[in-house]
Amino acid sequence: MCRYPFLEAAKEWMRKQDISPLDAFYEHDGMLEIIRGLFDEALSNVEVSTVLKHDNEEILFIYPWLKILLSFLDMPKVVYKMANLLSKHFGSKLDEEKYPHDLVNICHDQGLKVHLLDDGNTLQIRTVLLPFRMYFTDFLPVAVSFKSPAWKLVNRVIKNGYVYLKKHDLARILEERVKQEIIEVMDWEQNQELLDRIMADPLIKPFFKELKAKCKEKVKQFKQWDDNIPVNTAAFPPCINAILEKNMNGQNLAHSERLFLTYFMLTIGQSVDEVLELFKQQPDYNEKIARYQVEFAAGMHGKKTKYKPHNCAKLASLNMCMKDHPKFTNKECTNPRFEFKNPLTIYRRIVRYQEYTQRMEGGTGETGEGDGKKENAKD
Amino acid sequence: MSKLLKKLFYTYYKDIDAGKLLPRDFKRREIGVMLWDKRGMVRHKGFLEKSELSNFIITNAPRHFYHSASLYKSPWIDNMAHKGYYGCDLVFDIDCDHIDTPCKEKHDLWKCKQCGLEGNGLHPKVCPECNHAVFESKGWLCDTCLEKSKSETKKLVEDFLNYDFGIPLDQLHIIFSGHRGYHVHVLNDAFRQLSSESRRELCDFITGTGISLPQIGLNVGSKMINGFTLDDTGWRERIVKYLLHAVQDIKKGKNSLGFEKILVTCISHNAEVLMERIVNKKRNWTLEKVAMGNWTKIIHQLISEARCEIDVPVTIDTHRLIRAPHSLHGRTGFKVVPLAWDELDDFDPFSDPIVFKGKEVMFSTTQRVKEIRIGEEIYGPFEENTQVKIPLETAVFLACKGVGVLS
Ligand SMILES: [Zn+2]
Ligand SMILES: [Zn+2]
Repeated sequence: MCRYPFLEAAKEWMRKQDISPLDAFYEHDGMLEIIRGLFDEALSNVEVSTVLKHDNEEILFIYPWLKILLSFLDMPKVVYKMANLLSKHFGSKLDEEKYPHDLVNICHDQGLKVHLLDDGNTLQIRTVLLPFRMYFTDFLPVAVSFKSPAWKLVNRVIKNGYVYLKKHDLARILEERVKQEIIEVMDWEQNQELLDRIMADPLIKPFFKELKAKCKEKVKQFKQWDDNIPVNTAAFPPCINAILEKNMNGQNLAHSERLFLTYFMLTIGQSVDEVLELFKQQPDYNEKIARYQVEFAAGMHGKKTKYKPHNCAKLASLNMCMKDHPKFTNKECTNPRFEFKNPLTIYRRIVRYQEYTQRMEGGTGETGEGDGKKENAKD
Repeated sequence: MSKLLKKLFYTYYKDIDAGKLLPRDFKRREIGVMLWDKRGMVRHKGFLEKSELSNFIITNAPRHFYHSASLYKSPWIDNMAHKGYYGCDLVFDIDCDHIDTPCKEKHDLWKCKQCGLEGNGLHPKVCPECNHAVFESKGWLCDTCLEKSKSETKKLVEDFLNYDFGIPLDQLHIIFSGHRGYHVHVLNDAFRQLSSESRRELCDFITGTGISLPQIGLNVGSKMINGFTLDDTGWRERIVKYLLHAVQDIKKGKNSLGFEKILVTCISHNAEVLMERIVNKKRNWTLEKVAMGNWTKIIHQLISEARCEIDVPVTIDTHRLIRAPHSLHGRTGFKVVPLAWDELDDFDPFSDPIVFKGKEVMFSTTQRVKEIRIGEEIYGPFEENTQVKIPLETAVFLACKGVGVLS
């Protein structure tokens, strides 16, 4: 339990300790050091932390504090970086868990209805063992949350209502949970009273100020990385959707299509790994080459330039503009009131518009009618 | 005209056992109807008493009668956000309207709303004349269409819902829609809490959307191809089964999956080898003289044959209304018939749902009428503005279809 601070059981234990957040600092010296180290790691894209010691109670105190600090810092990019670090970190630890039973217990703690099969019922596909299973209705939300071909139900091993999973799958599911949990701090309401107390504390106030300054500085550095808002697939422009569909169908992408897709995805905040995940669809996928190319595009090699996605004119010249394609076209792209020069602008505009309408309407749309038809349909 | 039809519908609703018209958990359902003399839908109705609902139906004798798939705290509130959503039954719709059957070329028409261009079959994506994409369709139906709907329904129930998802057949209620297809309701409350996104993911499985060959472990592209065996599950197993079927079919000199010529040659040249490997569960699918590109084509064709053509928006939209079982369909005069799984095979959609049987009556066409089978007989084709003497059930059908009037 004390290895995984995101567990309900861990949180419950913390509640029982009944230690106010500020007191925790004083009772556990070294905490500030670890937190400082974690921010450093997160901001430099580390994926497995070396400052966090596994099997150490300290993390139970640090984890809630990290979230509080992230919420006070109020810098989305920093939140995403930290979410990435912690999720990858715990993901790799989970992957190393020896006992399948422990993993199942962790899943249950997280409300995931995972069953461990006894040896006789385990499925095996070629050399891969699939000792766990979930009922498909429990798996569907998981598949949806990943938004990746590898997790689509259609590409999964399913038998008699159960989706069969390997150990690494469970680690990935939990990893994603950690990520989401940390991202959620952005929705928190600011606890002004606690902030005031921090700012009045002789030890923590300078620490917090220093942290804030460092984050600000770093964030400025990756300015061109853009807003790092969560990727909203529903807002993709037609040109991107067309490439994604081709990719989804396993069709070979042209070089320019790969480049454009890479630049676009990186700019809207996907990680190198997430972009690579897409290219795994490609029939000639080669992890080493693809990784180098994507990392290059991300400015991690060579002249360290980060590239911007092509603009609309360039796309049109490459026959990659899908504005007039009957299947992919959308209203924003063809709206005569706005002339877009770059697909990124369209993406951002749709994202903002969707957020706006969601806030205004609170969600549900009213549609159609039965025989399963829309109101004006003929049946 | 509609007065006469309304009268007929009234006689049906007046005599039917009121219990039959009640949807499951009717107090929690939104009820919607379309009337004979008003355009649009009367919806957001809710009834707490059995008798109120049946009185509402009898007095209105509606042209169409629907209920929500969802359950609400207050189904009568007309703002979706305030209805108090409890959950939604999992339902599927199969309608040959969405399926490209060869007979559509013969009996369907489309007309471009912009320039008036007309054509046969399903309308194109954009008008070849003016590039607009708004069409008016005039659909007809025939045995081929309804057979296709039935076979897709069987595929959905047997191959997907029962076999892959393990849902027992007695939890699957099949309903003839009264027109061109079937609905399948999953009678298991455990599915009611599925989100729209989860429902979409489920639909993607059924329609084979997003299958990634590398993800399911079929690596084509190199010179080797490693395939699946009958011991695999889900789509892997489905692909092998369809391949086996295709090989057997082509061995018999048939091509019921409609492969292009070159692919037929690929399969027929290797039929024996393929059969042996499938039967002996070998994963090596590499074949001499079959290019990987052709293998990929074969597999994609197998997938498109194995997928089930459900109407996806019906399943994912949790605020939709669906046709009430035992009600009458206002475009055919046919009954919406609930069917047990073992009744589906013998069900005749042009005969069994007939409600208004009777002596011959005079019927005047207002447009050209394509031929149609009602009961055991085929009627038509009839020219525009002619008087014909046909049995009541056929006249009701044609009047509901809007191609003429009972006189
Ligand atoms: Zn036109
Ligand atoms: Zn037909």
